[in-house]
Amino acid sequence: MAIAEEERALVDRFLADRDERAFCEIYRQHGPALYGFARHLLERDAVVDDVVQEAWLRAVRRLPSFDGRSSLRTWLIGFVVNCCRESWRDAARHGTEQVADDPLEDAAQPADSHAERLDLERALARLAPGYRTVLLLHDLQGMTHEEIGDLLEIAPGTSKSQLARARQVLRTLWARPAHPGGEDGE
Amino acid sequence: MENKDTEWAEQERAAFAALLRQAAPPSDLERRVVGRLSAAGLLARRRAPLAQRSWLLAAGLALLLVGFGLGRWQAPSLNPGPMTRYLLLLHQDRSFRPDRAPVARRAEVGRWARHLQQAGELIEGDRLGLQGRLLTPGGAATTLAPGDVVSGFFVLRAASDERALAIARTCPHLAYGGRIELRTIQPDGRVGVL
Repeated sequence: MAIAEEERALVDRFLADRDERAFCEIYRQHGPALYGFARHLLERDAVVDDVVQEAWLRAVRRLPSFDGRSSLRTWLIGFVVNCCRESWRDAARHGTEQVADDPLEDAAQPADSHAERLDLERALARLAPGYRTVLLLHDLQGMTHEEIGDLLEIAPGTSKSQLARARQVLRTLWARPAHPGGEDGE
Repeated sequence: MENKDTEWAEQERAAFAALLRQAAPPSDLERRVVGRLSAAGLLARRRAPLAQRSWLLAAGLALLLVGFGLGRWQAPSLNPGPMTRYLLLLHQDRSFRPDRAPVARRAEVGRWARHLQQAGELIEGDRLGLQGRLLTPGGAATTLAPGDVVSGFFVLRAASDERALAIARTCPHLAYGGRIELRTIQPDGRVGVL
């Protein structure tokens, strides 16, 4: 059975009687990726769990409308992105987080200083949220610019140019691993 | 086709792949997500395994036979006691002070609801949209008047009015200046096919 058919069958099995086991199967297939994505998209660890739970709640509520035009993973990621954006807005409104007006303002500052070069995770956190979102969707989740455009309501060309700019800025921030694959000890 | 100037080199792609592996979710997150979905009425309760159900059936039959033997058979009750259903309506008016982010508030209410659900005292609950329509006898639909809106509800099962009141007093909604309306759901009030 093709992956799309398997996904559809699993979703249908869940929707038929809201079966907890079917949901847990969906969760185990996609939960780690959704969590990882949210963890890197949000800079504040304290809210990641809440955001991911909220995303699952919304996604399951809307699951009857999943039409299979995108993969289930891509569809689920959309809920995480929206919840993360809400979290940023909440934080900005309540003054718990600085959100730069210029999306690259924050990221551009340490570029010249070798001493301040950062590992990938910290460098990502320094990227402005909008650029980080596009970069993670494309480079971490493997989404196309068309899919990113649909999700973020921007033109595919805008997604492409934002990705290029985000990569440039990230490069200036990121102290690249000295040896291929050597940064995680594997 | 991406701009070749900004494409990642192989070692950079490897670092991205490693990044994904590093962010594993907490081991209890699945349980918490399932609990939250159950509290929102989005999951059916998991049925006991077949072997366990068979054992329960056998035990039930044995009890029934003992009951007949004693001449005191009584229909098994589905309810643990004289439980009444209560409706909690969460009002949000000018006194409401949302001094925490919505995601954090929802998480707090979620923890409260999960606790009640595990105790068997919460039947369901959900948030309501703040916009709505008010229909008049002629069928005209007007928007809700601003000021006091019902932002959510919970249906409880409690053994007494006092217990329901005690539960309502612990609802985090009150801590944010919200008000809660507590009503009984009349046991004989079920309408038609509902």
